[in-house]
Amino acid sequence: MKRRDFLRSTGLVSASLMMPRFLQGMAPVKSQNGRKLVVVQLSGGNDGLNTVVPFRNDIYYALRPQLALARDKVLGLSDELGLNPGMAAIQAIHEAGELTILNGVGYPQPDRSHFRSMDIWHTASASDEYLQTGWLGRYMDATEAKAHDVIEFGGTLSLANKGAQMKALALNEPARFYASTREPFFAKLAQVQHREQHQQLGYLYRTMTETYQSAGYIQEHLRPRSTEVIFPKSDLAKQLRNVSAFIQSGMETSVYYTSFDGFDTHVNQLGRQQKNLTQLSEAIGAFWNDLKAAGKQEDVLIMVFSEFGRRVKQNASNGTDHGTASNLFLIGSSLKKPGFFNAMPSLSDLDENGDLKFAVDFRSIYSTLLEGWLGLAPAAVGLGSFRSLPLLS
Amino acid sequence: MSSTSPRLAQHLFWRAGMGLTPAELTARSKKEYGELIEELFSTAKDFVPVRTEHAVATEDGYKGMKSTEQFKFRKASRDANYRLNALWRQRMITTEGCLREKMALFWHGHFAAWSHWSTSTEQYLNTLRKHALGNFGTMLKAISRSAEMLEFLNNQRNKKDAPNENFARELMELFTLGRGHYTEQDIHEAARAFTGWAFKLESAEFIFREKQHDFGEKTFRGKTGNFDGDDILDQLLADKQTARFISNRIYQWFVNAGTPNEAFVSSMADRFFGSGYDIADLMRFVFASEVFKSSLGARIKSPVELICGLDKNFRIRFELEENALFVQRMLGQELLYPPSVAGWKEGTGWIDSNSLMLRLKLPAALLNQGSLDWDAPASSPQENDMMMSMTGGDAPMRDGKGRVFRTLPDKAAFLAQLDPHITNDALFSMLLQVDPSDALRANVSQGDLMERVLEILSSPEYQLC
Repeated sequence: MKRRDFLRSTGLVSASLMMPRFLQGMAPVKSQNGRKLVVVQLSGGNDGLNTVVPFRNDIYYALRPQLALARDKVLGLSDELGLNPGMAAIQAIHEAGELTILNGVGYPQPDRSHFRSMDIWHTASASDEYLQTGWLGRYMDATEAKAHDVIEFGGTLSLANKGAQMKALALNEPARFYASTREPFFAKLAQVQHREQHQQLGYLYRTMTETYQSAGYIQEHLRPRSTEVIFPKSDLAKQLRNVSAFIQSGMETSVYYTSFDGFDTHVNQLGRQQKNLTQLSEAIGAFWNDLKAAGKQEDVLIMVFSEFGRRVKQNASNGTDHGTASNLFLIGSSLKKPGFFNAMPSLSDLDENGDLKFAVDFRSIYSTLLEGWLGLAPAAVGLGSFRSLPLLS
Repeated sequence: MSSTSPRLAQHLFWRAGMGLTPAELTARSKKEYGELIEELFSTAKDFVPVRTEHAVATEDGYKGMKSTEQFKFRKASRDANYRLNALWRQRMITTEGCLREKMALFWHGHFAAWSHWSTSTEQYLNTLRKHALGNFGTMLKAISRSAEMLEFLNNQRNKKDAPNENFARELMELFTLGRGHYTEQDIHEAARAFTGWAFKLESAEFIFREKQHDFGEKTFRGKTGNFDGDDILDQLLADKQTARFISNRIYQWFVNAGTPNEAFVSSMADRFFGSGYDIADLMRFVFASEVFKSSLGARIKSPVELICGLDKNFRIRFELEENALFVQRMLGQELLYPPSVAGWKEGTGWIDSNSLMLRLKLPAALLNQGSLDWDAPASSPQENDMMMSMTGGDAPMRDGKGRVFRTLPDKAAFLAQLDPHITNDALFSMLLQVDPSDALRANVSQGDLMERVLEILSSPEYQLC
């Protein structure tokens, strides 16, 4: 069986030494601009219509007799649209000109299955394509990133963060992660000097070494936050507090991925969704304030999305069924068009299922973030045909 | 030479089963390789279905239940699915007949589906197992009629006036031809042929709803006729591309995902197509080949293989049964609950920083009450999907703790199979399918035997088979 000829090296072996450049071809160079993207994924399909509320629209009230939010309850954003009552902190960000809301974000031939639609968002595929790598994983492949260049807070690594060669780091507790890589038996194996090796074995040792090195990098650089903003107790807030600490420590990580589950509100939506949106809003509010207190907000862009919105007409259980397009939030200090990027989709011109028709393809947003924020040509991850939107200054 | 090197014997049994215990390995090393292949096929000849108890309801009956009753029903169904998971794993770790179970595991990833309803799951599992080493055409037709697949790909909603193309699409893209060998129009026409294919919830029995079937003329891949579902399936089987597609998947799964071999896959396809899709014949051909015999250690064990390999050697009992499921979920593969119709991304797809550390620590966790840093929610996405849509409850909280699995492994029985003075080199040959790296050689201790075994099981080398 063929064995690969790996270059000999002394000391710790890094990813790029294990895979000689001439075998990979020249990777496009990413501009080192110190910018960070923070992704907040709302899992379950957040109901967009009760998040950004069209409180002047009769159809909204007619189709949601129990679910529609009363005009005097919503938090004002414009003459026609308001926020769910739980989102005071987001409203404040809006008032500071640091929020862009994109309406009707989706894709053609929408899929209403959680798994499929989330996979579509993660892999940036078409609705009938099955890609096996995620858009951020491919970003890592294209930039020959180190494992800690993209960090996901949460137990398991999402498909979004898995590339063909590179994968992001999934972290819960940095200290525990570091400790587990330093257990004597593993630490010794991870610091090994490699020679010619079996192809798959080489891959495993390389992953182990990268994990060891990334854990070491994080341990070395991570400092407690120097700010005093108090974060709420929710799971998301804990993830974002970690992100803030990482950013304040000057980590070279360019993408942080967080997620919040619980938006699949088929039954008794009102209370549950408002509670979730309150948690979301308070967590992001604390995070944004924390970054500002540390003077780091200019380097950070936050994207909040969900895999689909929900049906306009409520169901018989005081909830809503899976829908299609929904809104997406961008939070940052250099947004070109704070407020609303585009109009709400029509509630009278719905698709054959009674769902919203999409206006903005989510892949254009990814394209914009890659090109305009992270400094990588979208074509490098297969998004070359999606033109950037005028979202960033 | 009338014996087989231990590593080659292990190689065959790792690919065709869940490996061999030390005692089993000693016995088999005394036989010729050809005899070992024969053993695999002869012990796998009989088919005994896997069965469990089910909560039973008709579709109308279920719809008429109050929501609390529906919740109970779904929970009972879920628990039955979990029992099927345990029963199948038990079959997998039994050496006699292991080839049938391993082949069925492959087909499970190929015809990937899941259902909340345990009656459907049981039928699906037994369909995969029954035809695992039989005829692929028969398997294809049986799976296409299974309640699990019909529901999973929405075919019971595929009606004359409102065709649903989901099944037709996946049938061609994932189950037979592969992408690029059919058009959107072909999918549309094929969907019409499958209209009216439905099932009874209470028994998973296939029913044909005549009133919903489109009896009209269809044009599929250049041929025109009043095709029904079976006609479409026959036409797909008549295309050698199906044999090529399946052969390639079998090559990647059983032989070597990292090193393509077009010539060998081509010879497999010739054989498979020529025999009329005889799976057992194809697998004999594969196992006897030099390509197979020289692919030692080329496969990264799937989570199920990793877990079953340890279970087989140490007969691991969990104090809390549900932990057996948590471990599968944690490593990314829960039997009978694939993430999508595309199955699992295998090989290096199982490996990332997090999962590799979990896999390396798994032996200590299962054999030594070691703890694992796993902060994910305790239930699977499919379980949440079912439970939450019923109760409107909150998403399960992460418990924020490292998990310690209380287990009852039988280490003594394993150690009793070893020579107490066995050297590390001999342990490497027995437990690993690749030569140990210098680092591993240098770092396995010299003292207590179980400690040495545990260290070897905790190596990257042990991840391969």
